[in-house]
Amino acid sequence: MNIKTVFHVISWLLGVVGLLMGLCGLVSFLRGEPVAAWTALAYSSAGTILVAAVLWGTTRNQRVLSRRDGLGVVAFGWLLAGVAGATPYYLAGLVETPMAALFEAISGMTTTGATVLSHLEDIPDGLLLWRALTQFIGGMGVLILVVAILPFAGAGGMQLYRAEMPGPSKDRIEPRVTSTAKMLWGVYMMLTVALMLLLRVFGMSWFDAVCHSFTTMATGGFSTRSGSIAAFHSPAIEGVLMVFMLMAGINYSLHYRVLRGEFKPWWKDGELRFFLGIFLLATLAGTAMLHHARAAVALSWTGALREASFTCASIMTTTGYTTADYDQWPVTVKAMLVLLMFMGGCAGSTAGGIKVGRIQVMLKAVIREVRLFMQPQAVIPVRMGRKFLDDEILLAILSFVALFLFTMLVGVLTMIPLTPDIQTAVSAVITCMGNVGPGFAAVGPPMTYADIPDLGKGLLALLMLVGRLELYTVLAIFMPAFWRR
Amino acid sequence: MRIVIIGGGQTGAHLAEKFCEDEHDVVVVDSDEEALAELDSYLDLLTIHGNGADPTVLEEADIERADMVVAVTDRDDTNILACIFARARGVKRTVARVSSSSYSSSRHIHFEQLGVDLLVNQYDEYARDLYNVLRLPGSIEVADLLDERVMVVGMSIHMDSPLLANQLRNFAREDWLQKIRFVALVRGDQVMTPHGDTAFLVGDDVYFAGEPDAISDFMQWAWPEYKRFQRVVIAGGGELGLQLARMLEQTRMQIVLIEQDEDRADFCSGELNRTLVIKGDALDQQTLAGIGEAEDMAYVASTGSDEHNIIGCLVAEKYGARFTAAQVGKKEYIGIVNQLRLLDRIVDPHLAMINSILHFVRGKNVQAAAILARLPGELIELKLAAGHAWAGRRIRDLQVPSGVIIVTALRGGKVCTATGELELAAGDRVVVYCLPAAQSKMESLFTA
Repeated sequence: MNIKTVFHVISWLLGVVGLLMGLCGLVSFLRGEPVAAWTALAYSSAGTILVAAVLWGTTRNQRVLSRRDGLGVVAFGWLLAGVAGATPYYLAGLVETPMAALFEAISGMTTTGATVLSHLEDIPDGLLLWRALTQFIGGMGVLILVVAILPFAGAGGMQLYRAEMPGPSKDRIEPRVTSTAKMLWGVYMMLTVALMLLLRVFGMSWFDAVCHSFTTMATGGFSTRSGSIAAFHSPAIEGVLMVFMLMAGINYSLHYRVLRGEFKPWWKDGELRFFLGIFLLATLAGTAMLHHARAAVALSWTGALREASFTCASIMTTTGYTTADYDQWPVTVKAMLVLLMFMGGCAGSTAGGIKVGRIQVMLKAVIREVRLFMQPQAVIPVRMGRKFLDDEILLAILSFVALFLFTMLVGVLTMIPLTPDIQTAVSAVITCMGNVGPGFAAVGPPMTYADIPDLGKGLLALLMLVGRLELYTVLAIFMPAFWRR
Repeated sequence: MRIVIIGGGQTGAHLAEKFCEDEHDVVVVDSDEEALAELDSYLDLLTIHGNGADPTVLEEADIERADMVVAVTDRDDTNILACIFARARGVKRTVARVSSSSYSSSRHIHFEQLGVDLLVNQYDEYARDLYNVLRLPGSIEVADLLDERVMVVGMSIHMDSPLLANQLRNFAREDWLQKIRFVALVRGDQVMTPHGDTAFLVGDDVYFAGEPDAISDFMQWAWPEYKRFQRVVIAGGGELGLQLARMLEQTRMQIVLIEQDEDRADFCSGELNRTLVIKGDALDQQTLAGIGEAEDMAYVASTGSDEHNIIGCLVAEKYGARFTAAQVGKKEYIGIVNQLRLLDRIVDPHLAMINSILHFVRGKNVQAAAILARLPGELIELKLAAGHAWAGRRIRDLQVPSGVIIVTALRGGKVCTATGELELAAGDRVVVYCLPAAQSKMESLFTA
């Protein structure tokens, strides 16, 4: 890794983060909020831009990025952006320890949506906006944004794209990375603006509409209300959010094709069909189970459908909005939600988790093994769409899933001593690594992560990064070979 | 511009690199996944795996959105078919590479009507290149400019060269400077444009331009003891060897073509008139001994094997060949052979082709006039539009960016040597040479 090159790119990234923070400070100032709020944002913004300027000045280097440099930029860039993004929370006194602030910031950037803050209604708008904005820039990838808006030496942008973009296949629609990045961010912005207008039409205030459209398209899940979406008491808003959460969980290149007038790929995409199929199945099963639940939580058919569909969409796309305390729901529904958390959205979307496409390939590979067990001479291809997957790709996908689960296991074992009960430890690790947000028991929908000790918060934040950047980008920096020149 | 390259082999890779440098959107289609992975690792482009003449693969590459398709796989039929399909999907410009001259010389099939705008026969290009060098003994490379009315020639400076005497401003024969324009000077790894203070040193490679007759006379003067070749031995009767022999038959040189394969040898002898075709192994000492030693002999190795070609040249040198040239495809070999200075000339199978294709790709007022293998930088042709900043001014008075030199101008079919006194006019076709460092400054020249 070439440290100078890496930090030169990071300086740009920090510059963008600093500017956006300053913007939130300005909003806070203009809305006449308490001095502590806007000064916290202004100081953080100024500090971040200063650091960025110093880095930029000391590391002027035009060399092309190597693959390792790309990993370094993304891993360290995200960490430093997290640190920068955490400062306003700490300076404004919203949290007690720096670690809690870092947890909040990383949870935002990785679009997890796990929070240490309660009584959101009392928090100044500027900081809530910043919180939503961290999710927005992290959703499509802040470095992909940097690639889109800054002139990058071609191959360098490609390394960043590879390291930051989620999903097993990094296919691009446009030949050049800069155009691909522009296209992705363009679609992302368009959907966000569309959602913003719809939410406003259906009764949210402008401020709430902006924040919620940011956190929905990023599948983040930060709300401006402690009660999350339930606080709005509006089926229309829930319906709109559900549709847009599902859209955010779909491969953005498919949206792009639709915008260009190509509808065929949309219907033919195997991953998308599987994704929607699972969603429908889970909604139906959830509705039935909620209707037939014990008397205390049982709902009418329509009520059950409303809760189940919204929660399934929210959990499956790893957004993490809630309209009900699903911790009280029957254990069968909870088990199903855990499965959805693992699965996540489609490749190339802003959702987290293992990704539907990988699960699909894994299932197909398992079925193949079973069939081969019965009939060893059979030649059974594993396909993704019409594409035949060779053993190399299959191995890469399977080892990803295995490593993902193994990392989770290690996470759970480490978290057990740091949490009140095992259910909390398990669900916290799964939701953080899957970038969902709320879990069960002590970290369930009405609770926050505030009571988890600092060590636990740090570990969970690391798991969020590991989950968002899909393991290898973060794990690579622990390899000695990475540090060699 | 969106360019789809069919074939990610050496030519395809080289073109992709050039196009990426020029900030085009590049898509490469190839059936070799490893080659694609290699390209993808260092260039910003999209790769599509599959056969380039397969309509489904072309759809996958979004062929209808391409502005241009360049088909350079090593199969002629694939290339032509890919271009025809591309045209059927509305692609405006198509280029196909072919290696068999039966395509490029066909009088009855009009490829432009079929949808192939430019058919490049790589071997025609190499053969022309070699023919030029053999025609001008002493030159290290030759390129034609302005419809072959002007030549650019590279020549090494030897111990007793009359060029050594003075600085260029005190040049001994002022009259040459009216006909010959010095373009560039390669000294070790450095390239520079000559100016008044420049003095030539032994071992420099100097490049100059002029009309063919003037060049010929000038070389006679600059290197009198360098005699014309009497005999050219060509090892390998493939497309390149055959084409070269055909061209050389127009000169007075004695031509010997050695071909191992009996059928091919028969075919070659039928195609050629006064060339002596020998069936045998070019590496076999007896074959060469049978031809007999000759003092002014040139040897060109163009068999299908790089290794055979290199060794063949070394053997030929032992038999008195004064000039050896080999067709070498592998990049690794080209570097080593150049470093060891084993051969006088390497025929790089990509360069001449790439030259033609780039020529075709660039815009209306700008053309890559020629690419010289050993001279970094570029020779660019531009047509002075009315109102161009240069029109109506003497070269002496122009503000030419450093590293850029005006080589020659063509006005109404007449070549004008670019002396300081020459006054340029709108409508002139001007050839400019620019150093690699100055290439970015070139943009301003075209918009000016």
